[in-house]
Amino acid sequence: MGAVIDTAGAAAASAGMRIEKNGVIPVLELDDLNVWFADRDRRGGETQILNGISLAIAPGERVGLVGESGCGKTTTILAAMGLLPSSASVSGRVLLDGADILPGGEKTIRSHRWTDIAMVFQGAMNSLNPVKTVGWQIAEAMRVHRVRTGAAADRRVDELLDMVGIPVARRHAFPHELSGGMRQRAVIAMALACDPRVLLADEPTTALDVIVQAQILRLLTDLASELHLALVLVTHDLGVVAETCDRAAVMLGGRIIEAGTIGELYYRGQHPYTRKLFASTPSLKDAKPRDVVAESSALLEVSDLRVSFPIRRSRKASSADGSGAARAHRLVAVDGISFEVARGEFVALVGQSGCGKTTTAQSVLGVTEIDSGAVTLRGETIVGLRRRALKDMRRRVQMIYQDPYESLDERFRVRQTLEEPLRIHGIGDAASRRRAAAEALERVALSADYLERYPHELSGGQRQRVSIAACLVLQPDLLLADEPVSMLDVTLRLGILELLNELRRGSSLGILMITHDLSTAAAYADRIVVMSDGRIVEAGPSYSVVHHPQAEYTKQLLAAVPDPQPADAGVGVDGGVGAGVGAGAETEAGAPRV
Amino acid sequence: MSTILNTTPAPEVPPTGATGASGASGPTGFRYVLHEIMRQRSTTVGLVIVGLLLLSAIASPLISPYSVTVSSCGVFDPPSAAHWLGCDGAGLDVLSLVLHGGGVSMIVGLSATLIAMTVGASVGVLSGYFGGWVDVLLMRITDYFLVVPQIVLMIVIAAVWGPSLFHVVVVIGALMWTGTARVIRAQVMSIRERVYVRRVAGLGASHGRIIFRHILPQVGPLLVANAVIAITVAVFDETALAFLGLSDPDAVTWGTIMEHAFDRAATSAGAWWAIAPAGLAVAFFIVGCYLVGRSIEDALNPRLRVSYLSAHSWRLRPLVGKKPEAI
Repeated sequence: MGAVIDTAGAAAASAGMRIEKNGVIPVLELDDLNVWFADRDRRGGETQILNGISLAIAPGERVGLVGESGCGKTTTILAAMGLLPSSASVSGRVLLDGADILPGGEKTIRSHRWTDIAMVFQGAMNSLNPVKTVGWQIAEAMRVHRVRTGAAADRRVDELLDMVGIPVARRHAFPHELSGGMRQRAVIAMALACDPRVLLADEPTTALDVIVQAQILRLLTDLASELHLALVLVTHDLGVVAETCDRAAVMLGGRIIEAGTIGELYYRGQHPYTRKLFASTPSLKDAKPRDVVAESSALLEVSDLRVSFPIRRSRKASSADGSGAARAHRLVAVDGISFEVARGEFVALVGQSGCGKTTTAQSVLGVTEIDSGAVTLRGETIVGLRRRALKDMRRRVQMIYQDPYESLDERFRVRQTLEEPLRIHGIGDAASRRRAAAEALERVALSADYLERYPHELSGGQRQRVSIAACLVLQPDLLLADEPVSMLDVTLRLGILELLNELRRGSSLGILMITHDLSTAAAYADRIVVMSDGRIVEAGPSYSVVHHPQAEYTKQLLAAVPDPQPADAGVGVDGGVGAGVGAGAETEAGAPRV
Repeated sequence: MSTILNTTPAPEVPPTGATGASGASGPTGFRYVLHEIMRQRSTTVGLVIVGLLLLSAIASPLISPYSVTVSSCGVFDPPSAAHWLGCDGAGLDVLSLVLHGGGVSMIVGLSATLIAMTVGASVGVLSGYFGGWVDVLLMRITDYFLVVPQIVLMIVIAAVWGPSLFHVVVVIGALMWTGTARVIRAQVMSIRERVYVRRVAGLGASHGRIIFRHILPQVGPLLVANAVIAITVAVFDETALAFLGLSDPDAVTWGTIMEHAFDRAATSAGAWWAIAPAGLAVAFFIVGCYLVGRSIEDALNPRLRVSYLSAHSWRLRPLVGKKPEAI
């Protein structure tokens, strides 16, 4: 982990800070940037989104822009690129090498876009043109900006691919032939095509698995130091910032509330919000051995579960086959796994996307056909149930979905959402259903005032609480939670996880949480089950899985998890960023305690 | 069309936290859509046109100056102070005819639309919700209805059962539902995959409950937009069929007014006033409905709100206010 940030980067960082201090021109400077958006109803009203943003970045410096959704971090970098929508109005200065590029509006910014300031857009790796090769798309950036054409552009494409770690032979690959990590690398290559000096990266690793994320962050760090590139990393993940950046600015409500080196923010954060952010980001090292709270009796038993899906054969494959065999190929999603969840136990099923954890959850819900094996709840089988028994089973296993913005019907009041499960199962009368709804709401720590509200009046965290309450009204035996907090802001995650933790203590409820996030799992689950390629590679109490991993895969996974604690970043590489930050902090604050 | 009800917020409004979101209605809420509809000028214009025609049709027994069955003037008398729009080939007052004919035309149009919407929505919802062989079967049937030529079918029906208004309604309704079915199907297919529908299905809800409580309310606005547009088609079709003499010859509709005038050689007599008013009335009604239907569709379509695709750019303001220190 420590190797992610090298000494050169740290040197550049402290150099960057010196440059700024001595009044030497930073490559990009935002000065008192304000942005207003016209209100949607077009009655002439407007809302201020950014409020006096000032930020300076020296060449080779890596700065993180941290904040929760809606805090204005994306708007900030869009404003710097001049890419705001027409409903926006801007004031302030965007200085590139000391020259303000904002006054001429679109006209003056356009000539700098991509050639001086380039951007990796959020989710860009999924927006590549599917009918053009990645090589063509990288060259397109140069053609559009008239930087290079023809053979020169071709040579540059090879160079760029090499730089971002894509084998040059793959330049003729189409986006769908590349993995997510490779596509993200291609997007970075595109951003670098016109030799920019500033790279703005908007959540560049959000949709990636943790191991790939570590690789991409490593790439960005290396590029910044090799090319002397100023990097602005926009993210909600403090771990990512701590691993990658020298400095960070914390944003809240359109303002930068605090800025400084990672060490300063982590150890001596002044603003309560900064401290709250760091406190809400679990660190792997926080996992403690815990008392066994679970009852011994098994609630859910999965034994030797095997699930496979038919793959539609491509024409190519069948013609190569020659036989034209009728039997379709099958993809084995879950390959003989066994685990249990006891009453009152919190178990986390951890793995990267495509490892089979979602399929496992679906088998437990009884919505997928399984090949072999058994899934039982309190000794009763879940699979292959007939209509009536299945409906009864649906009552006892409830699922919390990942996206609280999608899982509630926008047209239903909270009360209707909470009463609906009871109506479906024909439980109680109107009065008792209303009571049950209010009780469930109370259990998720929302007051009865929320009963008559609509989902759009609730925040993401409140929505997730409502969907948990909708699970609780049926008094289930088992709660399945599919990435219950990954769509929520970090400061809200803690509350939801604490809530789940509380729920299982009070009753005999078992919780099976599916997640890719090892640090969350380590902080809350009693046991962790690590899955890879449809198999369980390791299972055990959270503490021992995190601190004494046995399987090689678990070790890899653990190594890739970004940690918000900056001191670790330096461990392992002598004079790494720990020292760099220390030096930086020393000059600023006097007596550091890093 | 399939993303008309997509709730993806347009990028022009960045999330502003709980305070910004706690308006009277959500981004796709009923009130918001209504506001978006009424904000457009075309809605007002369309509503005024349709409203005036509707009012005059309803009030026609009271406001029409002459009878539509007893002749009140000479054959093809030109417009005069007594007969503002002149007289037709049978000596009937054209203004009275047009006022009366509007009511019948609109009733035929509305009932045909009602049939088309009912059939179209049912086929669309069943097809989109269940998918699989139900979808294949229903869509194949839809394809067949799509290619049946309306006028030929109407001629056959008029020849076999005789011309009547009821047959016109049935034929238009029976052939017009296909477009609606396809639009609704596409929308239902996307709603069916939404997480909240899967959650309710996971709770053990019946198909009926999911369809009526969770899916139909979502496609409702789309259905309304579709219906308003469909009325224009139905009224036009009714006029066309009547003009060809395939409707009830005794009924006074905008189509039959023109048919009678043509039959009695209004064109060679130079009596434009016998034809033009009815034709213009049809045109106005269609334009009015179309304007209203379009603004409903626009209000429902999030893509039309994406402002960064517009020709305008963001504006620059003079520097004002305090200057926080740089970091």
